[in-house]
Amino acid sequence: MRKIALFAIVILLLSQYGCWNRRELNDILIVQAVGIDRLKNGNFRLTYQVLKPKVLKNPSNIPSSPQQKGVWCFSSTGKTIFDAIRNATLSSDKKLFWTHNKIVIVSESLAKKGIKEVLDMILRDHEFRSDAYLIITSEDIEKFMNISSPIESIPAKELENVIKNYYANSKTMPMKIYEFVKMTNTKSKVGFAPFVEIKRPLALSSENYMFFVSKTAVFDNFKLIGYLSHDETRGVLWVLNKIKSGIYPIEDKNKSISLELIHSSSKISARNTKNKVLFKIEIISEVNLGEKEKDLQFTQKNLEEVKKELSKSISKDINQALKKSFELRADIPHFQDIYYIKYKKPLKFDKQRIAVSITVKPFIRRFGMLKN
Amino acid sequence: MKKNNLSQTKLISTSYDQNLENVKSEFGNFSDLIIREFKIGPKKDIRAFLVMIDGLVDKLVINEHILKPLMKDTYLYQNQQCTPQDLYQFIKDCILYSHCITEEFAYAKTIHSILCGDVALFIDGIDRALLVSVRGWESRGIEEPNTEVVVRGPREGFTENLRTNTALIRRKIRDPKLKIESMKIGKISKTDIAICYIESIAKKELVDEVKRRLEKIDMDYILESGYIEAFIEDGKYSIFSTVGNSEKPDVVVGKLMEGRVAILVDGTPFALTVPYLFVEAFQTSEDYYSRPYYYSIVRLLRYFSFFVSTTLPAIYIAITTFHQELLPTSLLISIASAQAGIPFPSSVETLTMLLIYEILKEAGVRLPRPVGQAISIVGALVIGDAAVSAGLIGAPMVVTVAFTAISTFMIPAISDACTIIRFACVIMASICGLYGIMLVWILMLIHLCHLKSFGVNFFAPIAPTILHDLKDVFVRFPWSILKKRPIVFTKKF
Repeated sequence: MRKIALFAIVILLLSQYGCWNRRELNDILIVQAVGIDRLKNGNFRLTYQVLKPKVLKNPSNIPSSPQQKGVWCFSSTGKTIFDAIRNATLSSDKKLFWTHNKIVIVSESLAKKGIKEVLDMILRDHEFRSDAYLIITSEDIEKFMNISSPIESIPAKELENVIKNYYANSKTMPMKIYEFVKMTNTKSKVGFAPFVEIKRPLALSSENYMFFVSKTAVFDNFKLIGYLSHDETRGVLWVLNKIKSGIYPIEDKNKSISLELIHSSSKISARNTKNKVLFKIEIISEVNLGEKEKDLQFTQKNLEEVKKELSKSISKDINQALKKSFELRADIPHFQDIYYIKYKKPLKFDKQRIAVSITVKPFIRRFGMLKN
Repeated sequence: MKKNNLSQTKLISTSYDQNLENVKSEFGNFSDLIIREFKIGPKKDIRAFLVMIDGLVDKLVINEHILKPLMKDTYLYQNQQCTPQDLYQFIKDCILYSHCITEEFAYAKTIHSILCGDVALFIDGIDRALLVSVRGWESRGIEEPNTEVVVRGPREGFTENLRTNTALIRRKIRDPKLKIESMKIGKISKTDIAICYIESIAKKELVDEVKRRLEKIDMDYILESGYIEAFIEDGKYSIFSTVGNSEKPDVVVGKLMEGRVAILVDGTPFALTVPYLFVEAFQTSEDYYSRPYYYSIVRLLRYFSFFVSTTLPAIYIAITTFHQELLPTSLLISIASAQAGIPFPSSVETLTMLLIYEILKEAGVRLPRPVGQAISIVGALVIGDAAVSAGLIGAPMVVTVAFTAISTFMIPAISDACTIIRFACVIMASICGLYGIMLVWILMLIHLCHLKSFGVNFFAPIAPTILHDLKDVFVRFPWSILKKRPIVFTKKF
C-alpha cells in the first residue's frame, strides 16, 4: 500500500510542472534589442539585434569590424507586432528568445501615433520581460540598430549602459517598460522615455557611431507630444525626487565653480487655497565643491552666495520644466496624482489653477583640501 | 561436517594416544600444524605433546617459556609418588611462565583456541588440555590512516589486530566504566568483535539493542566491519549509511564519550560507531582540536560543498536548458558562446562528463600509485583541455564538473550518497528543470527525516530540532559552550 502511495505521489509530482519549455542554448536566438516602427502601408516592421555566440567566443575579436560584430540585425514585417515576430522565423534559423531583451526602440513617427498597442503586446505575452528600457529615436530604426559601437561588441549593451548613466548626470530619465506603464496609468497620464540619437565620436571619424541621449520624450496617454531638454529633464527629476548625482555649474562674479550633487531629496505637498492649488516643493540638496576657477577665497559670506546661486539654478530648472508642462498641456510633474492622493478628487491641469512654491535647502559638505 | 559434529560434544580423554589421534584426525593433514611430542616428569616418563599452528604463535616464547620449563624444570618436582594429576597441577601452578592459561575439557573449544593462536598442552593421563596464550603473528604497525588525514591531532590509526585496537581505546579512557565486551560472529570464520561503550554514558537500551542485532547476524564469515554494518543498519535500502566508521582511535573515543557504542572487528582497522547522524559526515576530528572560528567556516563550506556536489551540475542543466532568463545576460552570453557548436544537448554532455569523472576516480583509486598519476594527467589534459578545444564539450561544463568533483572530496563520509543524488538531480533536471531538482531534494529530505539509526533520528539535531545540540552542527561553538554532552542520544521523542 505504501509503495503504491509513494508511486502515485511521484507520478503526481511529476505531472505538476507547468510549461515544458526545454530549449538548448544552441537552439535560441538571444534578442538583445528590438526596434519597432510602422511602414507606410500600415504594417509593423520589427528589427532585431541578436547575439552571435560563435563570434563572441573568440576573445580576440575586434568588435568594430563588421564581420566580427558580436551581433547581427535583421527585420521582419507583419500586420501586427506578434505577426511580425512570428514572421521572423521565415528567415531566421532559430526561434527568438526574448527574456534577455534589454532595449525596446520605438520610432518617433510611431510614438506620435501612440504606443499603447506596442506595450500591450510586450506586457501581455509571457515570453517578453517588461524590464527592458524604452527608447525613442528619430533615426531610421534599421540604421540605428545596425551601427557598430566602438566599445562593446554588443551595441544594445552599450546603449543600456549609456541610458543607465543617468545617475551620474541627472539629465536624462531611463524608463523601463513597466515603469513607463505604471507612470502612465495614473491621473496625470504622462510618461517619459529617453530620446537617443547616434553621433560620431569625433568629428573626423567615419566608421563608428556612438549613442547620444539628447532629450527626453514626453508622452501623454501613450502619445508622444513633445520633448524636454536636459535642463528641463533635470527639473522634472527634482520634482519626481529622482535626482541621484550631477554637476551644477555656478557663475559667481565671473568665476564659475562646479557643485556636485551627492545627496538630494524633494518633497511635494498640495494645499487648497482660495482659488488655487498650491504645490509646495521642498528640496534638500547636499553638494560637494568639485571645481573652482581662478582665485576665489571662500568666506562665510560668499559661501552663502554660492548656496543662493545653487538654489536659484535648481528653481530655474524646475520652473523651466513647469513652463514646458503648461506649454504642452501635460501634467509632467505629476501634480494631479499628488492632489488626488490628498483630496481624492481630480484636478484639472490648468495654469490658472496651479501655484507652485519652491524652497531649496542647500548644504555644502566638502570643499577639498587644495592649497592655493 | 560430520567431524565437526563429533568434536562438538567430544571430550578430551585421558589416553595420550587417543588424544593424539583425535587431534590429528580433527585437523587432517594441516601443513601448518605442529605437534611436538616430548616427555616430562622427574623420571622423564610422562608423555606430553603441544599442538599449535605455525605462524600464529610466537616461536621464541614457546621454546623459551613453555618447552624449556616443561622439559627442564619438571625434574625439580620432588614428589616420588608423582601421578600425572600432581604433575599437571605443578605445571599449571609453578612451571608455565605465561600470563594466560586456561583449562579446556572439550575438543571443540580446544581446537578453536589452537586456530586462534593458542598452544595446547596434552599430558598423558589428564582429561583436559592446557591452553597457553602465545599469540604472535606478523601484523602491521600503528600507522597514520590514509582515510582521515589530519594536520593537527593524533596520527595513530587502528590496525588489523583487535587487541591492539582495544588497547588504543583503553589508553585514551583510563576508567573502569569503559566496557569492552567481546563476541564471535561468523559461523566458519568465528571473527572476534568487541563492543565498546562507556557504561555511565551510553544508554543501556542502546547497548542491548546493539548486542541483540549483532547476535542475530547469521553469516559464515566476516571479513570487514562493512559486513556487520550491512546487517545491523536501520535503512537497509537507503543510500545513506546509518552506521559510522572511523579508522582513528581518537575519533572513536570522542564518539564513545558522547554516548555512542563502538564495534571493533578483528581483521580491519575500521571501527563502527552507532548511532550515526547525518551531521557527523560534516564533522572531522580536527574541528575540535583547532580553534573554532576557522573550522566553523570550514564546516559551513562542507554543507555548501554537499549542496554543490549534489546539485550544481543539475542546476547548470536546468538553467541552461529551461530557465535561461535566470542568468545575468553577460553570463548567458559567455555560456552561450562556449556552448556554441557543441554537438550534444547539455544533459547528455553533463551525464557523459560525470560518468567520465567517476571512471577516472575509480581507475585512479584501484591503480598502483605510479600508474595513478597517469590517470590524472589523462583526466586533466585529455578530458579537460583537448575535449574543449576539439569542441566536444563546453568549457563551463568542465568547470562545473570539476568543481562538483572537488566539492565531493570535502565530505568523503557521504561522497557515495552524493554521487547517487547528483545523478538523480541531473536526470530530473534534464526532464523538468529546477522543478525536478526541487523534487529530488524534497524526496531526499523526507527520506532523511524518516531514517533512524538505532532509535535516534538520523537527521537530528536538524529535524527534529534540538537547540542544545545545534551548537555542534553548522558551526562549532567554543569548548566552553560545547562542553555539555549532546542530548540527542538520550532524549525521547
